Order: sequence, then structure tokens, then C-alpha cells
Amino acid sequence: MKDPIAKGLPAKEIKKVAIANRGEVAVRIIRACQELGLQTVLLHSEADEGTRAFRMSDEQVCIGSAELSRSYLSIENNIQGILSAGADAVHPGFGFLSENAAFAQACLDNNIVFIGPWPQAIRDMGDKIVAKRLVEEEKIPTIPGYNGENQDSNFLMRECEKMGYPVIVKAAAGGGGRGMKVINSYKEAEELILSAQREAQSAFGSSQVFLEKYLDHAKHIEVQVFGDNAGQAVHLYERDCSAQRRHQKVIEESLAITLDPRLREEITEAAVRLAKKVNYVGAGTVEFLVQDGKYYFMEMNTRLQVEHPVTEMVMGVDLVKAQILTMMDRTALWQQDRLKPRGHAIECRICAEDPYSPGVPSTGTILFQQFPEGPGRRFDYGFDAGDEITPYYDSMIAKIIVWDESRPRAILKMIETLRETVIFGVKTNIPFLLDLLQHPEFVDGTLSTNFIKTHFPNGSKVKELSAPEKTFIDQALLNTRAESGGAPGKTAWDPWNHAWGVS
Amino acid sequence: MSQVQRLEYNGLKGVALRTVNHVWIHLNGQTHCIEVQSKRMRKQQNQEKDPSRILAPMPGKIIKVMCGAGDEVVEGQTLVVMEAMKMEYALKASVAGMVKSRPVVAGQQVSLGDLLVQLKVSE
Repeated sequence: MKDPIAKGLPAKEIKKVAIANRGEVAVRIIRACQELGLQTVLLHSEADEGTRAFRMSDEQVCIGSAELSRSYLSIENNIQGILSAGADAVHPGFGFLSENAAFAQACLDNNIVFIGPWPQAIRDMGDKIVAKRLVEEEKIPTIPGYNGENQDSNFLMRECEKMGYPVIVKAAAGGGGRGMKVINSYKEAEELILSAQREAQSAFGSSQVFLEKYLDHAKHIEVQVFGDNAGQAVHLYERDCSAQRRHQKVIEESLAITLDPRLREEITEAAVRLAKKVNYVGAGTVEFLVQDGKYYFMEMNTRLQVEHPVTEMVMGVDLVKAQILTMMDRTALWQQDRLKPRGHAIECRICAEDPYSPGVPSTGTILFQQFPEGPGRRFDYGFDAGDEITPYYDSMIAKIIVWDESRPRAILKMIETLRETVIFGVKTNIPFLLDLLQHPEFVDGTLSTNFIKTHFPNGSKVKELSAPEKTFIDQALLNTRAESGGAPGKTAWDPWNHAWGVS
Repeated sequence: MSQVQRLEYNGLKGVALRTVNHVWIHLNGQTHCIEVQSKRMRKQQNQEKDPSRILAPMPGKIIKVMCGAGDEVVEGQTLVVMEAMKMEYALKASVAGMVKSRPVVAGQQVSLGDLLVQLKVSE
């Protein structure tokens, strides 16, 4: 493999960075580039002209139609876009081509700096089967499972029987929850295995799946690692991402307050060992499940994570700038003993979906948006009022991150921030997030990855309005109707039937 | 696009925005989207609640059809699988019955509210 480090090539000068992504993460990367004095080129699909990143970037190159395989997932189109704009480097963000070794290799072959690890590290960690073997060589515990080549559903069903239910089926090339299903009985095994294989095929271009025994009260704890270009690696402590719905993270925190200090030392040390073993460069995340005082390696994500801001808040670092600087320079950015966490940070993913019918996305034009600024509040968003939320991409439209001195204060700050956040035009999961944040299991921090499934299987419940609130809404209706020339007072209106998801 | 109004009544403060068919109101940390309904829309809505009509709950793509005209189906049976925002959704029968028609095929793009399966509900 062509590895410039091994060959002792100098780091390349970077003046213009292409962004092979969309939405809020594209905005995040553009901000980092602007602060470093770098030019930006957004590689976008036809559907994404009306987005913040499109307006904020210095140049824009359309790389194809809305369909993923013709734009964001097309290596050829992305490479052509980068070359035509004359960019020196590309930041892949997360999702899309960020963990695609062939893309990283194509960049290398075209003399483009891929802001991320070398292709070999992506290949090794991206193939869950190879990853598991490398991890076992490092004596890091893994979860029992089947990770072979045989993809026949009858065979896989027999493997499930052997392991004992519940069993989780996952995309071998996957990440981020796509193509993952929990199988609870033989009866549903076949349908779920086939469905996971289809989702894997459509999301990652490979239908290969593997099986694992499902830990039913584990916490999702992940360690942020960072490798520099000189072969050193550090960790930036851990995040607790146990609040998940169907394996998609919903709320993330740093640090994990219930993590035993001895265990923290063990897993952070294991994560750094793994990063060094694969010559990891840049930001990466090693995910673990922690149950009954034991930890198990789940996977390593060889990219920036959606939830990177909580680590940035508690560690006082800028991971995206660090990624770019690492590609420009060989020297170590951070020394482990100087990295000290402070306070607590929480991130909520704001998704365009119906909070009362979980998982049903909401599309439309954002009519109005208001984020309540304040100390320790951060808003990473990809769309402004007037922008359309289309059905082509995932439903996350923004992230709200708060920092405070302690976890209880951070929770209160997040609740207040969410309550004052206004988004008109699409439904959002904010009511659902508020319910989660106020649940006793969330408040005491003991939640496991089953938290949402157990306590909120049907999303949020519509809340009964108080009499003054009903009066207010009636007044507001009259007022807005009068304004637009409608007949005031004619709307038969009952708040219950008109709240989201009920009507 | 109409203007956002900042309203205050009896000490409560809120934000409201009127569109053609809806009024959006943000009050006490909650957002309400209130439909300003016409008779036609009301009729359409009642149809949406009809369990014999399986409608697309969102725009997306049909990725699998699991029933055909004439099939007997039981309550809870998956009829069609669709994909939107990169996730799969199984649309299930909420009542037992017979499939009268299924006017969609795998691979087809559908819009919100499109009829996917018409059932004849068992007596």
C-alpha cells in the first residue's frame, strides 16, 4: 500500500478543502476551514442547493442527482468534483463515503489529501470480521457471535439458535445503526435477517451481515481517540450514547458519569492500543458495550462522529480543525497527560420526524427557526428558514449541544434550551427529547441501550393543555386568521385532535 | 410566506405563524401545528383512518411487496415494506381481510398518502 508516512513523504500543503457531505456537518467543516484560512468547495447533489452549507461555502460543485448512488455515494463523481475544483484535500464528514476505503484510496491515487485515516485502517476496522480478529489479538474482549462468510438465511437462523436469543444482526460494512436488527425468536429470525441484508445492500453496497449475542442491559460507551501523523495516539475520554432508538443514537453525553474509574482507565487504554495497532491517523471512535462491570468491543468508527461536539465541549478542543491540521503537519497536537475533561456536555439530535409516531419522518419547508443562544449552548444546523427538508436523506436537521459544570445543570440547561427552540414547517422530535431528559432513569444516568424501547415504545404522548394555554391558542388562531382574511372563530378546534400526530 | 407573530395574552408569550392550511404556534416549550380544515380535507382525513386502505405514511420508495390481489391476510401481517430517509418501514394490516388490490410494485416511488393496498375487511 502507498503510505506517505512509511515512504517518508512530506505532508502536503492544503489551501482548498472539498466537503463530501451535506447538512449540519458540512457547515461544521466549513466553519473549521474558514477559521484556518482555507478555501472551501461543497460537493453537493441537485437536491441540496437550498442549504446553509451551499450558501456558506466558497465554491460549489454539483456531483449528481438526489439519489445517493449518483452523488454522495459515487466515488467517481466525488473525485471528479474535487479535481475540477482544484481542491487539495477532502473532508468526508460522517456517513456517505467517510468509511469507504476505496474512496480514501482513490484520493491517495489522485494526489488528494483524504482527511481521515489511511485506507488500510479503514479497511481493517470497516470490515467488522477483520476488526474483531485484530481486537482479539490485543486481548480486548468481544461479544460472542457468528462473523463468517456464510450468508444463507437458514444457516444464519441456525447460528441464532446456537447463541440463544436475543441476537443482533448487523451489516458487516455498516455503522450508525443502518441494517441492524434485534431478533427475539426463531419466528421472526428469517424476516429480520433478510431485511438487514437488504438495508445493508442499499446503504453500504454489500449485503453481508454478521450475528452477535445481544446484551440486554448494556450501556453504549465509546472512546474518542486521535492519532497524529507521527505514530502517536491519545484518547479524549468517553461518551455515553445509551439513549438510542433502533440503534440510532438520540442523545449523547460526555463523560459517562456511571462509568467506574477503573473501567474508564481500562477501556480508554484499550482504545488507544487499538488505534496504535492500526496506525490510526485523525479522529476515530472505539465503541464498547458495558454491562455488569465488563466491557466488550463493538466496533471502531474510522471517522468523525455525529456526537463529536460533546467531547469538544468537555475537553476544550476542536476535533475538526485538529483533523485538518494533522494532515498538514506531523507534530503531535496533544499530550495525553494534559488532556483533562471539565464539566459535562449533552447533545440532542434534532430530527424532522413526528414525535408522537416514532420514526415517521416529516418533510417540508422550514418556515421559521429560532435557536435560543446563551452561554454553553451550541447549535449545529444545516438549514435556514426557506430551506426544504427533502425525503432523500436522513432526518437529522440539527444538533443542540450544551455544556455546564455538572451533569444535573447540563440536563436543566438542555431542557430550557429545547423548550425555547422554535422550528416551524416540519415536525421535530423535540417533545420526545424533552420526555427522555426528564425520565428518572435518564436523570440518574443509569439508562441502558434499552431505555427508549422500554419506556417510550410509541414515542411521546400528547400533553394535555392547561386552560390558559387553550385560551392563548384560541386567541392566536383568531389573530392569525383575522390577519389572513379568514373567517374568525369558525374553526372547530380541540387541542387534542390538532396536536402533532393525532390529526 | 407570512410573517411570524409574537403574541402575548394573559402573561403567556408565544410565537405563531399562519400558512394556507395551518397555524403553527410555539407556547410553553411546545409546538402545535393546527390544521385549518375545509370540509374536503376533513373527508380526506376520515378516509386516511379507514383500516381497509393502507396509505403511504410518508414519501419514499417501495422496496418489497408481500401481498397480492386475492390474498387472505391476518391482523399484524406485513403487506408492503417501504424505505424513506434511509430506513425501512413495514406497513402492516391493522385488521384481517382479503387484498382487493395492490396498485404498487417494488422499486416504485410513492408520495405521502398514496394508496398502497386496498383490503376487503373480514366480517
